[in-house]
Amino acid sequence: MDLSWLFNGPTLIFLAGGLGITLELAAISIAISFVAGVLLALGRLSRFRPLSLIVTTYIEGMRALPVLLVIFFAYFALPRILGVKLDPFVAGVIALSAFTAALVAEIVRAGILAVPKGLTEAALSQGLSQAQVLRIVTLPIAVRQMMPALVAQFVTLLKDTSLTAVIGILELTRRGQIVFAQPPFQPIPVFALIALIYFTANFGLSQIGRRLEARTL
Amino acid sequence: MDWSVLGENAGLLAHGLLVTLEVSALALVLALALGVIVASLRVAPSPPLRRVATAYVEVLRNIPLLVQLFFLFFALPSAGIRLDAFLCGVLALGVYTSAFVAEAIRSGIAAVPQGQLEAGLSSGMRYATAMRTIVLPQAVAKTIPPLGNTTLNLIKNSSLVSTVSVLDVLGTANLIGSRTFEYVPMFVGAAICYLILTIPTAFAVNRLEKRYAR
Repeated sequence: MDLSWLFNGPTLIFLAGGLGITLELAAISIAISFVAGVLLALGRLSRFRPLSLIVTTYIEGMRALPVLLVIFFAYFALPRILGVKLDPFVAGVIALSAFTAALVAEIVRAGILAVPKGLTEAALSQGLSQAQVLRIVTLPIAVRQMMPALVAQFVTLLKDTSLTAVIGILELTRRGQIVFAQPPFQPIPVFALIALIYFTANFGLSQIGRRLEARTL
Repeated sequence: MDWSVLGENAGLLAHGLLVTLEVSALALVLALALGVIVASLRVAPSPPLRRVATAYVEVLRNIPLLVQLFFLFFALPSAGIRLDAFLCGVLALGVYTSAFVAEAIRSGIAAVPQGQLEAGLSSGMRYATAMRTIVLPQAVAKTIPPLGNTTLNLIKNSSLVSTVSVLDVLGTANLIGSRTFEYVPMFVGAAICYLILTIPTAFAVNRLEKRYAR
């Protein structure tokens, strides 16, 4: 079988560029959703009822919706509400971050709740402030607890970036579609290659997660 | 924004809801059947069988569902296998989810003490009989909560069938949105449809989780 139409410089560079965009989307969304997720978790655990109620509604609402709907909403509907045109990449980052933040928040909340109360009380009684206790005692322990779930969530996020192909972001899946839509119109080798790339990226991410787990424990 | 578009197309959305339900239900049956088989292979006494099952799970879990769906829809026809979009959706969703079902069941089986299986085997049961009558019934209790979450994800993931032109909830909302440019009301309507499906499911999952949490 002659695969020179696929395994040549320009085509591979085109696909590698798609992988770059996929990883960029994932990295930016991971960073945003982690920070937002921690804030949402703290909001949900807050003793200030209205805040906790609003955050809980957001988290539960997001978790009940398909991420593809969130992506479509960010790209097609959000510009009508905001009155500004959104670049597909920006809409993709907004959707993936907003969605994943809700799931990260639940993981973080479970991690924080798993920290023994005695530890935080001990730290408080040593004269540390609430914020210091959170930063020095609660969060480091919580992060260790939630590492496996967090990594699994980020693997899911990396897979979810493929959905942004449908709003026209030229990431890996979209570029694969473009390649097989050209002569000699052979989708199977293209899909095999793309699947292998995703597999490697996700498997690698899982391995990094496993190493982080081993180090932090 | 003209919200009346939502009322005018409520019937179409309701039909989409039915399609979403149909895809989800059929895919769930497929996922459960395949998942049970793969999970049994993952704990089988034969190492090659275990390796095949592990590869199945790892490959399916680490490749985006959209890529798998596109493979069935766009790539298989080039090999002379032409399936209609609905069938592609059910197959892709069912096979993808079966990997998560298998994982849930495997961890449930792993939670059953090894001695239980050994006791069954040493009293003369065949491996399959011991699995079926001793290990699996105990594993089921530990498997229910993660399976509930998998089902919830399956319902949400069923929205991907809209990308291959199936008119499920999301597909219908997107189509009407693109014709009327009233995306906001249509997507809000779609969101409500998904909440109608997922909130009761999540509620049921929570209750089962509490009942089996021990």
